[in-house]
Parts: sequence; C-alpha cells; structure tokens
Amino acid sequence: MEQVLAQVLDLQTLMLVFIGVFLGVVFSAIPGLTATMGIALLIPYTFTLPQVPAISMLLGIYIGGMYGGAITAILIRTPGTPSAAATLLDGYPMAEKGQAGRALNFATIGSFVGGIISCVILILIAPQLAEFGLRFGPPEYFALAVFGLSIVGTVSGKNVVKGLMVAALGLLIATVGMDPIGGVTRFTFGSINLSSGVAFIPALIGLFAVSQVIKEVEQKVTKNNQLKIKFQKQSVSLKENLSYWKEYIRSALIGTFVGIIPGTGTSIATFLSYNESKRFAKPARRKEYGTGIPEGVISTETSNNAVTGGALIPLLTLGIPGDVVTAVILGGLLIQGITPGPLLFQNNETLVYSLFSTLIIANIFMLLIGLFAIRFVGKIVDVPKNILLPIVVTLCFIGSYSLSNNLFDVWIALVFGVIGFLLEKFKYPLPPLILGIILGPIIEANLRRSLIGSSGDLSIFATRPITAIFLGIALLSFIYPLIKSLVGRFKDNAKANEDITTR
Amino acid sequence: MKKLVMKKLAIIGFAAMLAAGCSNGAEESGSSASSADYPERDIDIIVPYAPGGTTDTASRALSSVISEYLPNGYNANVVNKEGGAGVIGTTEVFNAKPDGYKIGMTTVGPMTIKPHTDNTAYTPETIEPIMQVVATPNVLVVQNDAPWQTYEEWYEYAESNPGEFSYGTSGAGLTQHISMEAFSTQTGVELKHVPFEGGAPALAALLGGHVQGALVQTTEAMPHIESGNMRALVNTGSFKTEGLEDVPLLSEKGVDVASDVWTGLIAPQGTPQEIIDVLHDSFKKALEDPKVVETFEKLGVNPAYAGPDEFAEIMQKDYDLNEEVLKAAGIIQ
Repeated sequence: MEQVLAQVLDLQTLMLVFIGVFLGVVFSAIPGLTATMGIALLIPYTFTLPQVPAISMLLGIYIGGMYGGAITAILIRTPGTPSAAATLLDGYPMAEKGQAGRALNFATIGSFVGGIISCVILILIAPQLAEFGLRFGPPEYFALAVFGLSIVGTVSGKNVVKGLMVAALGLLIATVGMDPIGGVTRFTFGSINLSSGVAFIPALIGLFAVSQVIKEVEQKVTKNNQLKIKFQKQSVSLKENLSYWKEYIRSALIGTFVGIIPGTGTSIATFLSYNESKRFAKPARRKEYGTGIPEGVISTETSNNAVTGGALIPLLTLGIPGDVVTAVILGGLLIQGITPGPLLFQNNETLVYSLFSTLIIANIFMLLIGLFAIRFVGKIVDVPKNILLPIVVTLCFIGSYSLSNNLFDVWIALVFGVIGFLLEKFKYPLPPLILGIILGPIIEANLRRSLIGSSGDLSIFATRPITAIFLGIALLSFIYPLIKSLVGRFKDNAKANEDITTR
Repeated sequence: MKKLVMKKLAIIGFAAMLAAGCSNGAEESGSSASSADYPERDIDIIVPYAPGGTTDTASRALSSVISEYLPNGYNANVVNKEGGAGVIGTTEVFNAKPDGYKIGMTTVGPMTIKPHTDNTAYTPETIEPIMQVVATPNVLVVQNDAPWQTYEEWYEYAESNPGEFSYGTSGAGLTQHISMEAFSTQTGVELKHVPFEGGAPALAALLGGHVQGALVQTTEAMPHIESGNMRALVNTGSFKTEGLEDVPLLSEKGVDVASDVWTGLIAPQGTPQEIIDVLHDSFKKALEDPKVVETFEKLGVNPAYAGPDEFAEIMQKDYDLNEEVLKAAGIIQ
C-alpha cells in the first residue's frame, strides 16, 4: 500500500493526471476532437515516461473525455462526442430556460458520482463481473439492442408514431455502407466515402448543431426570436443534489453495467439510463422529460462517466477492449510493457492498485476542473447570436472535417443539418433517429451472427436467459401502452394514455 | 523539473492539436523542383485508419525518428485519413501528385482485397511500392479446454462434422476470412464463418464460448495464449513468430495457404525513381533504428522489411490469390 501511495502521490504523476483530465475535457468539448484522438496522439510521448505516470495520463484523458462533451451539448447544442448526444435532450432546454449553470452543475456532479461509483465497483468485484460480460454473445447483443430500440417511445416526445417513423429512417441510414456479414457494400451509389457507412459524429453534429443554427437564422428572419437568455451563476445546493440520489445511483449502475459488456458503447448507456429514469419517474413528472429538467441531465451524464469503470473491467481483467477508446488505451498499456489479463492482477498488484487510485484522483480532478470551468464557459450563452452562430457553424464544419481529414464529412454534417431542421420544423423528434443509427448495425450484425451460429434456428432468442429477458422487456414496453389505453378506454372512454395521444 | 514537464506537455498538447486539426496546412508549394534536392519540405504519410491502431502506431514510431535519416533533416508527418476500410486514404495517395511529398501506409486489405470487391481507382499495379514495413501472420486459436490439442485432431473433427466448427474473425472479406475460405476450397472442409468488428470482439466471443475458434493476428492472440486461456492450433501465415514456434504453418501441413497481414509504404504512380530510392533508404534506416525496434517489440509487431521489388511481388501474389478465393467463395463474380 505504501508503494502504491508513493507511486500515485508523486508530483509528476499528479500533474500528468491533471493535464490528462484537462486535455480530455477540452478534446471532447470541441467537436471534431475526441478523447480517442487525444490518447492516440499522446501515446508516443508516454514512451519515455515510467509506467504509472504514463498510464495515469491516458486514464485522465479518458475520464475527462467522457465529461467534456456535456459542456457544448448543454450550451450550444453541439455534442462533441456521441456520449453527449442524450445529454442535450434536457441539457439544452435547461439552458434555453436560463438554467445553463444548473445544468452544467448537475452534469459535473453526475459525471463525478458516476465515475466514482463505477470505479469502486471496478476495484471491488472486477474479475467476477468480467465473466458476466463474456456471457454476452450475438443473441444477447441483439436482444439488448432491440431493448434499446424500445426507448423510442420515451424519447419521441408527444407523438410516438412520428418517433417510430424517424427511428425507421435511422435504421435505414444505418444500412448504408458495408454489409457487416457479407462484406458487400449497400446504398453507397459507388461512393468510396460511404463504404464504411454514414460517419456518425458529423451526422450528429449536423442533426443537432447545424440544424439549430438554421432554426435560429429562420427565427431571426421571421422576427420570432424574442428569447433572451442571460447566464447566471447558479450553484446547486448539496441538499438539492442529495434529493436526486436515486437518479445518481441508478444511472451509475446502468452505466457500469453497459460498460462491462464489450462493444456496446456509451451512447447506449446514456439512452438506456435516460429511459429508465423516465420509467421510474412519477407519471406527472414523466411528461416533463425533454423540456429541461435536472433528472434528464443527471441520468445521462452520470451513466456515461460510469461506463469508464465498467469498460476497464474487461480491459484489465481479460485484455478485451470494449470500444475504440479502450482499444487505444490497451495499445498504451502494451507499450508500457503491461499485458492486461488475469495474470496482471496476480503478478502486478501494486500497479493495478496504483491505476485504481489514479482513477479516483482523475475523477476528483474532473470535478474540480468542471466546477471551476462552469463559472466561465457558461458565459457562452451571453454571446449575441449574430456572433455566436457563425462560430458554431465554423466549429461544426472544422470538427466534421478534422475527424478523418475528409471533406465529404462536412457535406454529411450539412445534409444532416438540413434533415434535422426539416424534421424539427414538422415536429418529428430527432433522438429516435440517433437511436436507429446507433442500434441498427448492432441489431443487424448480431441477428445474423446469431442465426449463423444456430444454423437458422430462431429458438435461441427464447432459450437463452439473458436474451429472453431483454426481448421480453422490450416486447412489454412496446405493447404496454397499447394495453393500458385499451383498458383505459374500456373503463373510461374519455381517458387515454398520455404517451399515445396525438397532439 | 515541474516546469520542464509542464513546458514539454504544453508543446506536446499544442503539437497534438496541430496534428489533429490542421495537418494539411503546408501543401501545394514549390512544385517543379528537381528530385536531386528532394526533400525540400516535410512529407505527409497518409495512414488510412484512425489514430491508435497498429498501422498508425507503427507509422508514428517511424515518423518520430525519420528526420534523422531523411536528407536535409526534414520530417514526415502522419495524417490519418480513415474510412472505407482503408480505401479512402489509399485512394488519396493514388491521386496525389507524384512528387514524393504525399506518400502512404497501406495494408493488405485496401491494397489486395478491396480492388476486387469495391471497384477502387487503383490496383497494386498502379501504385509505386516503397517497402514492406510490418507483417503479421494469423493464428487459429481455440479455448484452452477445447477437445483438440493439435491441428490434426482439429482437422479430423472439422472434416467429419462439416459446417459445424464456427470461427470468428475481425470482419467479412478480410485476410483472415480469405485464408480460411482458401483452406476450405483446397481441403473441402466446410467451416462456419462468423465475422465481428475487429479482432478483440472476435476473441471476446471465443472467451465467452459463442464461437469455437477465432482466426486473429498473432499480436492480438498472444496475451490470451500467454495467460493460458487460449491455445493456438495452426498458423495461416508465411512465417512463425516469437513464442509460437511450435505452432505449425498451414503450408507445412500440405495446405497451400500463406497470407500475412502486412503494412507497407507506397507512393503515387509516376514518382521519380530517385525519390523512391531516397524514401526507401531513409525509411529502411528508420525501421532499423533501435528506438523503433524497441517500440515495435513492445507492441508485439514484427518488422518485416521487403524492398520495392519484393514488396511488389507480395502484393501481386496476394492480389491474385484473393481474386481466386473471393470468386470461389461467391463474394465476387
């Protein structure tokens, strides 16, 4: 233990963790720079550092990178990372109501709580949980993704039918590119640029940020822009935070759980957590989701940072990276001569516990940096729109370009900007589109993988327990509102379900 | 000490942002300079994948020392241009001005498989090979408690249970898939292919028992073999790697399959021979640099030098073989 503390509380290590967290926040807040990129670019400079400081810095970027996206998502509706896509569901409406400071506060605290809880779980029961993650084969992933798709109802706002239409459009967009099993390209119209599908982050930037700019311009032209936001320093009292304790804990557990399953990703965690938060809310409160309430921000931001501890479980115990970021971290570990796997815990306990300690420290730094930054970044909303919007557009396009240095991605952002604008103008909700794009490939590839495995036998979806449970819940979520409204109509003709009513 | 670290990191941070944001800054200046003075400015190396993968890390390791070997002390900057499974970046190199200032790292997939399936603008014949840098064989691994101890036992099982043995790979139509299709074509043994998105998910599926085997790069399999979770049965590449000397090659077992996953440097067609020579000589020295050797070793990557002519042969051989197998497997016509 003394050895661990000596390694971790070394000034150089602490500095590097701090710098890592800081860079992570900055990289993920700016569209077009990602935490993955930050880690990959810094790895060559960690060659010369000793093990603990080198890995600590990479973990710092990872932790910071999960949080930074929330800042731009809340303030300018530009998710810098996919994990922040769900944050703007309630984050941006809060900012529009003049509560940007509160939203940022909840996001920061949520990220911290999520990070710490997942870290504790990682420290206490990592090896046992890793085994559970492995039980997820193709049928389980398929079931989880179908369950994820059942969230459409939650994120569709008032009109579920429109939500379903948009989700179907998302699934359709997800089919563009290489067929995941056959390796044949589809709907690319011969363009090499589409052969790996529609680039996700440019599409995300387009749908939310570019479309918002078009909307603001339209409002300016039609003189509808009466909204005046003034940023106020709003701190959230400890008491108020504690009143949301259930949100924090539930979201942290969902995030950690999703993190443990390799290959699912943070965006799924955030949407699942948002959905569960709404499901557990009181019926009266449920209607307010999407209009800018703290629960929406807390559930998403807590869960995405909770993914960190979860995703490190298969990485450290089995050497299996769950996503791109952890794959890059794995590269960094290997360069430092650390081979993750069961042997790591037996042979190199000091190192493992040093890494655990730095994770906790990184989360504390993230909290401090976040709370400090809120005082300044929130002022963005005070910037006059005629100055802010051109900057946002520039950021969007530079961001889309720099992700893979490809001009085509800028066109994607622009086209999706127009799509997003039109959809919102005619009151079609955007989140189901994102869900479709994220979940489509997982559903398709794993359905086909499952059927290859079972030689076409569909019964595997009913006989495997995890699969059956997820599919069962999904089915229930789909038909429950129908039953409820039928029963409602039966009992009282005047009373219909709030989720189904068309406006 | 503290200050120095800070300063260093500030520079690193700034450099990283520059690299990410505006790496295409210095282009299109001074065109018709004679190749005798080459290079007169920094060179761009297009890496057709996202930062962080083996190809990217290997390129960055080379670029970190290349200024010591390039004439006039100029540098080579890594520019990531991902997408289309490597085709987008490789096409960019193909379309670049053949002046030696934009070259590329490419790999077996975009160079010898995609031209058949994706109608790419280039073929191995229309680019200039500079040198092969890295080569990695693939190994068939099974779980440690699997009933097959040797390749023969496994072969017997697979032969007598057609279409039963399922193996995961890093994706459809990649070297691993093609190697196994070639194996099936030659031996008549039917296997069940389950493609995943990368080697890691394929290995996770094997660990969870969702597939019976996985054909992955030796570098990906090594940690799991060392930890005792997995056992390698056969190597489908052309050479044996450290720690896996006992694993037989498929070609030693009478099956003519020997394809590695290679990475190499290419230049656009029409690049003057003198420039190719300068690039080849400099990068060959960089590949032998102790720092690069050490980095490769830590990553478990095998430096596998092959000169322009030999590299061209390797490319052509894989290109022809892949066409044959893809046709036999019904992926192309």
